[in-house]
Amino acid sequence: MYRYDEFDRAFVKDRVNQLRDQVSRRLSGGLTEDEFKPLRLQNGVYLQLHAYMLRVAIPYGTLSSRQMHKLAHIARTYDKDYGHFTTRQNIQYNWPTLQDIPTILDELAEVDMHAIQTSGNCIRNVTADQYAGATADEIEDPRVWAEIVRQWSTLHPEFAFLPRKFKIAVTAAPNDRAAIRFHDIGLAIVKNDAGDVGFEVHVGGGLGRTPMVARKIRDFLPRHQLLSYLEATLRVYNMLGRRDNKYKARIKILVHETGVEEFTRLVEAEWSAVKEGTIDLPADEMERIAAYFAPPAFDALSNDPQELFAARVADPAFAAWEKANTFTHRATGYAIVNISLKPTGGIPGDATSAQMDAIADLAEKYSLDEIRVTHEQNLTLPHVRQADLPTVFNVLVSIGFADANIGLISDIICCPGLDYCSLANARSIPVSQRITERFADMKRQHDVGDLKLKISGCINACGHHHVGHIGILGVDRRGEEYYQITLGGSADENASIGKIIGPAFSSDSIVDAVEKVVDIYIGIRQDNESFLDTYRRVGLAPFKEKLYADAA
Amino acid sequence: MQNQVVTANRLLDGSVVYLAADGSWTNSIRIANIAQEDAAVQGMLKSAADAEASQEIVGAYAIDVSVDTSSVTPTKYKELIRAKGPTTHTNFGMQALEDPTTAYMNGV
Repeated sequence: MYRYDEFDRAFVKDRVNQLRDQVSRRLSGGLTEDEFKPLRLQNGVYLQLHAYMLRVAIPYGTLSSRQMHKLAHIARTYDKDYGHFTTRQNIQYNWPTLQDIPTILDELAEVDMHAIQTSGNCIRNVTADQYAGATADEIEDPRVWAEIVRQWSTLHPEFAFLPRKFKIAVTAAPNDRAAIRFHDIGLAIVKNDAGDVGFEVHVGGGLGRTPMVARKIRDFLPRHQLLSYLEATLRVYNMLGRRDNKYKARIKILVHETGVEEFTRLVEAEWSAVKEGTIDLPADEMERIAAYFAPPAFDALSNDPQELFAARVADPAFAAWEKANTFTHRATGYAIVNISLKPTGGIPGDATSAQMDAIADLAEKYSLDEIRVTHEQNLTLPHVRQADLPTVFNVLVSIGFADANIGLISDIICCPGLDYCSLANARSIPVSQRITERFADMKRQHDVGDLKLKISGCINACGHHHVGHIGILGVDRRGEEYYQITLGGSADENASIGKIIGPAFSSDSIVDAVEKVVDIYIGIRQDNESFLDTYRRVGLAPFKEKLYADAA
Repeated sequence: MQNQVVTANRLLDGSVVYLAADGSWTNSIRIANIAQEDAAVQGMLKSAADAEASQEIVGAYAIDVSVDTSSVTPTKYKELIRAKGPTTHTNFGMQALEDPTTAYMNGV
């Protein structure tokens, strides 16, 4: 893992002191709210419905056990004993007081963490595949480049006041687990015919009120030229992106309005002017950062050890969990473990301090001290010996995080919605809770199979509803909560945006409607066809016809 | 005119507050001062501006409420959630400290 050097530490410490001074001036009247608001936002401090909210960056979703223990400590000491893991691989605290926030940031700085650039019109936390460094299907560890981009973009003077926020995601695997096609810039690490490693560059993806799949503007960018190419892309956006209308200010609108060919030409022209400069990282500095992400020393082990085999036979619940929640590791004898933060009736992404501490302990003992946060609001233990899986499972059972539902209908991405968020139009968490309760029968969930359901409480789409196989969008209709269903979205390498099926459903009828959509799928699927494949074969019509048949 | 109360967030902890008749800011909508005419609302917003200037609260505005002998209930459900606390964590917010003023969220 990357560790701060003296410069990083001093920089973060200075920033905390700066905010401490700003908070103190706000409380004594030296700063008005209008003056203070942009300053607090630059440090991840929002004012939500019931309290302040602090968003803490977890760069590319990677945490050590020490850092996770610190997150638990903060939840216990300064908040209401829980934290909320988000789709941007961040954690949010929902109840800190303004006075405590500088102290919380001091505590975070002790473990090389901060909240800088988790808000505002700047380059936000860089996200990556949660299986980075552990999966066999990647070309190299994408976190090396996520870290390089993080360092380059932190307080970058030219890009501190972009037209709008800017999100970058990196993956190095053909199976896109980082939703790169729905980021302002999505980077896919690829190999060209000559065997050289570089980037495929996608630009202009995003969700919100104008969802768009990113457009590929480069098939292959030599990897050592990444920063100059990013600079050229960001500069074109910074100069030409709209600042007159917040809703048209993201780079996706610029790419769309300019046309991808012209946009690409502008970027390439800018790049040719700057690429021979000094922005690109020298090879030795790249090597220095890469060394932090060198693969750990995996022991020479065999797959399917005796302990694992015995546990599968002895405990069907373990066998089901192993099948659904673990993923093939690059090293034989190891497994990637997904910890579902989606228990039946629970709040997607929430973890108590005790749960965080237990997971930190698991990571320390069984996962080479590493934890990952996924964009699907789960946690991952990337390096677990297969022989340890039964023990890890039993601990997860004891803390209520052993649901065998990764990738199933109850593994819901869900925004905080109107229970917390001042932008929301409707509640989203209670809908997700009722759906998981309706589908509580695990046998039924496994029979339904792969199904990504995502819920947002407003059109800003923090719950990624546009890319849910089933998406749910909360709307306000004359003062009542209503929910619109979309079908056919997907955030992976075969990206698509869901289509609205028809009129919205009331809060009372939305869960029935979701169940009906699932039943319609079961009725028309062929063999082992997944929900998404069935939808792509038959389209919206059969679903629409049957879903609204009774209402007609 | 629809009955109104003035609400804001307390600067120190961000908690939801209402302007009471004695000029203080309370977390309980039950003891909020209720305005029945525009002039009263304007007077309360003036007090709120003073409270903002003296670092007590932020973001004051007036909301519609329905009032009966035993309760004061915001007409919009967003304001009802602000008054009570998150429906997903019923142990937090004012709902944890006192009985709900009316059937919550119209029975939802």
